[in-house]
Amino acid sequence: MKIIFLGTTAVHAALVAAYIYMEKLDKRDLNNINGVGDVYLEAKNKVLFIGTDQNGNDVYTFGAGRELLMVKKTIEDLRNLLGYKKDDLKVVIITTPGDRILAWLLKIPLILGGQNIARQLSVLVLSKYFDLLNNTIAQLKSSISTSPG
Amino acid sequence: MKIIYHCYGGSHSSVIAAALHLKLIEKHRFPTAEEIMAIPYYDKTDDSDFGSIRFMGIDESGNEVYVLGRKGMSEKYNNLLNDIAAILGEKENLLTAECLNRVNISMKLGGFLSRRAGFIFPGRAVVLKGTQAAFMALVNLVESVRLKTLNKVE
Repeated sequence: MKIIFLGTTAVHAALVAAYIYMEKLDKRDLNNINGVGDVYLEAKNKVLFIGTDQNGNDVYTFGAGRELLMVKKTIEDLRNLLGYKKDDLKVVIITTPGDRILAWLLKIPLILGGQNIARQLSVLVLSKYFDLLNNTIAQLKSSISTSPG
Repeated sequence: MKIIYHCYGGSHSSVIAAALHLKLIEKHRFPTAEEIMAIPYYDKTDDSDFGSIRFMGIDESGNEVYVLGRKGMSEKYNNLLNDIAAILGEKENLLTAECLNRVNISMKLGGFLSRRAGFIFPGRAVVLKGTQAAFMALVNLVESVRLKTLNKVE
């Protein structure tokens, strides 16, 4: 299965959620996450491959801005018209109350050290919502394990 | 192959391009207002249609043609659609075409008035005028897409 974590950006809450899901975070230290708050990575506007979980599922993130539901609908429509099912590709929306601040951090001018500032402040903000993301992923895992088939 | 024409609302330029691709309208002459209004989905969508990939028909080569409204996320959506197809191993089975760059100010203004602001009467008249003015640009786009489908098949 392919799992896409859809966030306001691809490099904040969705990325942390992906790492929690893959159980690749040793502690709560979000500094260990590759690409967290990365301005350049987000600017690529691409679906980012994050890794593979223990069951062989490929995990991705994508930044949909404010249009999370619209983008989810499009991905699911495309999946269906290409002949695939829910079990082949799953889209999970990840939101936190800090999403607007996190998106704003990407707008800090690079000339003012935007990349470093954005990364450090992103880690700070995301740490605050770690428990929320942890709970979201716990619910997701239980829904995947209890879903038929 | 699946071909997706996309624009801001999935209601005007992408629908005309898809109709041209499917030969629902002729490319050698400007369509009349009645012919344009007879095209499925033309100036008939609402907010719930954003993000929905809608089927328009199958062309003479067996390609399925779709339209999509994706608001202002032009480059992002092109990447998204192609990345998802690649993730599913279907990259060669999808072709996307951005239509908004072929649109003129009348189409944008008329489309906004008719679909977003709810002023259907003045909006539709303006967008129809704009559609006729942008017609040849959309014909060119569709011809380039047709060439790409041939290259992809080869």
